[in-house]
Amino acid sequence: MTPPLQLGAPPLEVVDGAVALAPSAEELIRSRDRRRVQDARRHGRRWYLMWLLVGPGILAMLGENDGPSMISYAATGATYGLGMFLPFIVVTFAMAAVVQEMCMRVGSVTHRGYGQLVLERYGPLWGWFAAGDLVFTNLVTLIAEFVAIRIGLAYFGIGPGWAAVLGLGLVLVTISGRRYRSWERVVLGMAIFNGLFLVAAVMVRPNWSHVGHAFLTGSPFPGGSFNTLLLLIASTIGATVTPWMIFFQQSASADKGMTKDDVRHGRFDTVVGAALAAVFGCGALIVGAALFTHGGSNINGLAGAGFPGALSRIAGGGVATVFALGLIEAGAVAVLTISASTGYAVGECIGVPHSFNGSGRGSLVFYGANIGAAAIAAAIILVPGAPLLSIALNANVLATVLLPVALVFMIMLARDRELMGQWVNGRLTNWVGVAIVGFISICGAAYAIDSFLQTVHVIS
Amino acid sequence: MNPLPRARLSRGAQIGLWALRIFAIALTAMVVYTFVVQVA
Repeated sequence: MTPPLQLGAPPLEVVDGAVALAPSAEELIRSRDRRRVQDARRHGRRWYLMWLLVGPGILAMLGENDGPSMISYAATGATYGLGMFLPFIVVTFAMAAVVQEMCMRVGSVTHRGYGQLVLERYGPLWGWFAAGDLVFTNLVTLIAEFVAIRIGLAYFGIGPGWAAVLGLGLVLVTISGRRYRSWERVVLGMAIFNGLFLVAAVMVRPNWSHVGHAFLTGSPFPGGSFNTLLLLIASTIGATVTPWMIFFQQSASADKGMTKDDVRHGRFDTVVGAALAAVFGCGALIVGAALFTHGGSNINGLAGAGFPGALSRIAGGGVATVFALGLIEAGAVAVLTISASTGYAVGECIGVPHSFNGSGRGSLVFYGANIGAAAIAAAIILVPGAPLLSIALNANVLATVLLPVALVFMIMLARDRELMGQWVNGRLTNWVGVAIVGFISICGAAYAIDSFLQTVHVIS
Repeated sequence: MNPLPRARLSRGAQIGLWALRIFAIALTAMVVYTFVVQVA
């Protein structure tokens, strides 16, 4: 059994020639959370232990079922109907589970976040590159999250100002507890409502035999413009595996105080999160497919209330209401998790405290980056004439393009025997990881190059 | 926590990482350029 403070690795201080332990307030809070885990383990309370240890994996996966992702799935269903994308969503979440398991394992074994590890093991240049990529993609993605909240609220006749207030207000309220555990539990409670997309899918009464056929055979294969198909493939990948998830799950696992003893539960947390996210993502695609034979591919009013409005006309007001509420939830949860990953990354790279358990002046940078990223995104959606639709659709693509670099470092860390000891990647995991990097690189590059060549009129 | 020792990267690994870095920046530039042209 691991003593509570050992994992927080309190700094050793030399006081009058004697070495004294000086645990910070952050470490004391974490040690109390750890004591609960140890008591549950000692008394064989398996379900309570599971309840205590789940969180980062489910939050990373359901957080990535965010506003632009659900819009992207629904747009795919509306454009192509059921078919290849239904099993493709499951495949991409299987890839996400492999990647996120590595993040959880590295965070639990090293007690360090991704940014901090890259910086310490590979130097400040690579650490800052990683944090820079993350802050850039996070800002774009956060704008897209506020757009999703705005779309959902617009269906109920509520203006964009309230979308900004809601998103930013949630960030402020959830961090006000100054405890990782309370932050995690509140966001988990909200994330469960991602299931609204599954409810909406049942409400549109799809032909389940068609759903089963599409799921098992991946047919019909989508036709139409090659560039649009590439965009949707890149968007779907960007909707399931992203740089912020890597930062978030590793840092949150470390912040939660997870240890080597918790890796088995961390795996369960990650796989359950991936399964839930895949089911809910498929739900959004099935809802969108209800518009397939009703001109779904021509629904351009996403920046307003296009999707819920179209659903209201075709499938009824109930479906539209559930879908709109789902978009608000998806955007809100992602605002919380993505701004948290920004805070972790900035804190880790600057080398200042980076924990939800932290308080006082030492944590100003962590909380400042957390709130600041959300505030900038909230301000941008209020700018009249801002190209919000284009930003929302390109957010996932940008994440896909920048993902391979983050993934390569993740695999390097997870296969680093000096760092991971017996918890190092197996050979199969390494090969699967390399295959994922290759697949994502090819898909991202194909879309970026094809779109660029079309834009500069080299190809038509 | 004590800082970890720096990992020793082979020359090939360093070249590979820089190649990947430049590749990602080039693709990002293409996506951003396409986005700007579409908006304009």
